[in-house]
Order: sequence, then structure tokens, then C-alpha cells
Amino acid sequence: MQNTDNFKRGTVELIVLSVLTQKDMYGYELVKTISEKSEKNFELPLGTLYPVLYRFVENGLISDRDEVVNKRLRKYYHLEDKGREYYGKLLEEYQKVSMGVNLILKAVNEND
Amino acid sequence: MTEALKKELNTYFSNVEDLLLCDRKNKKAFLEDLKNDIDEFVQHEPDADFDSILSAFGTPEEIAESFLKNADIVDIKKKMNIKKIVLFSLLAVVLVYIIFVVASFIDVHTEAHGYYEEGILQAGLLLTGGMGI
Repeated sequence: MQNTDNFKRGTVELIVLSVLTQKDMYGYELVKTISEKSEKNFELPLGTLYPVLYRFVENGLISDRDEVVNKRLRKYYHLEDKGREYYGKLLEEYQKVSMGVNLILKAVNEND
Repeated sequence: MTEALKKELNTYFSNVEDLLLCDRKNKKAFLEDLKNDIDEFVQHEPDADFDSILSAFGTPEEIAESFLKNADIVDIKKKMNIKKIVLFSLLAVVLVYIIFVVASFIDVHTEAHGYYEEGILQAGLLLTGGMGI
């Protein structure tokens, strides 16, 4: 289980930013969207999500704003240009690593 | 939301707050966000009870653990260093106070044995209680 956690942790930033490219979202909405889009293969705990969001806000990758919806305060997160740029770099890195891993696994399986 | 559920959630938030290791600003922000998200969850699932909330959001220990794993290590180190500094400062103050008390106690007992005697010596005569010797 720990190996799976380590693997997922490395992709949290990428996944959160990718979802925010679609539209501004609030925390709970982010968690639900990620769960639905991954067909429940990726359940993101709030304790994992929020430190990442706070770090992104501090670094200017995203911004936040409060909105009152149905007498309830919601904090929406918006992807900034700097965040889009960072997302682009993360995606490129992920694709390189993913391709490398697939090639290794393919080569190993062929040898078997 | 029932009163019983509100009470259970208050304890839940209290426990999360006690377990979170981060600076005050992030702790306050996270607790507020957590409360809002649970509010949102209960709105979408009106029959939700405390167990379903625990299932959806995790126990206080799980929340604190995942927060710690993903928090900025610099912030955590800073928080731990501040705690160390405060603890050592308190210990230093207590130690200085103990040394002062012990030193004062020793000083009083070696110098005057608990009381002192005063007499007047004039021209070779020691006058004690008005009588010359």
C-alpha cells in the first residue's frame, strides 16, 4: 500500500492542476471531480489536497476567492498563467517518465 | 444536521486541530476548509451520519497524517524548531530560578546561622545588656 501511496503522491500536483485547467473549483468539488474522472481509482484525501493548494497559492500558481453560494461560503481556486506554465512542464515530465517506464516494462515482459 | 452530529463533529474538528503539525495560518485555513467541505457533503447527503463522514473524509489521525506527508517540510521544521526554542527557554528560566533559590538558601545559612548577634565595644569595655565588665 505504501508503494501505491508514494506513486500517487508524485502525481497529485499534476492531477490537481490538470483539473483546474477545465474550470475554477472549490476543494470538495476538486476531490469529487478527481474521483469521478479516475473512476474511483484515485481518491484524494483532503489532508493531501489542501497542503498542495496552499502551496500553489503561496507560489502564485493558483489564486483563491471566496463566494457565497446558498448562504454558504465557498473558496474557489483559479489557475493562473504561472500555474498553466508549471502544469505544462509537469505534464511534459510525466509523459517522459511514463514513456520510459512503459518501455522498460515492455522490454522486461518481452524477455520473460 | 442534528445536534448530536454537530457535537460529534466539534470533537472531530478539535481532534484534527490537536494533531495537525503546521503553522497557525495554515491550520486555521485548513480547519475552515474542512468544515466547509463537510458542510457541503452533509448538504448533498442529508442522511449522512458521523460514520459516513468518517468514511468520506477520514479519521483525525488519517487527516493529520496525509497533511503531514504533503505539507511543506520547511514549515514543519520551522514549527518544530519554534517548539524546541520555547521548551528550552522555559527550562532555562526554571533552572535559573532553582539556582537562585538554592544559592539564597545557602547564603543565609552559612553567613548568619539563622540569626545574628550585635554588641558594642568601647574603650576595651564590652557592654552587654548595660553592664560593664
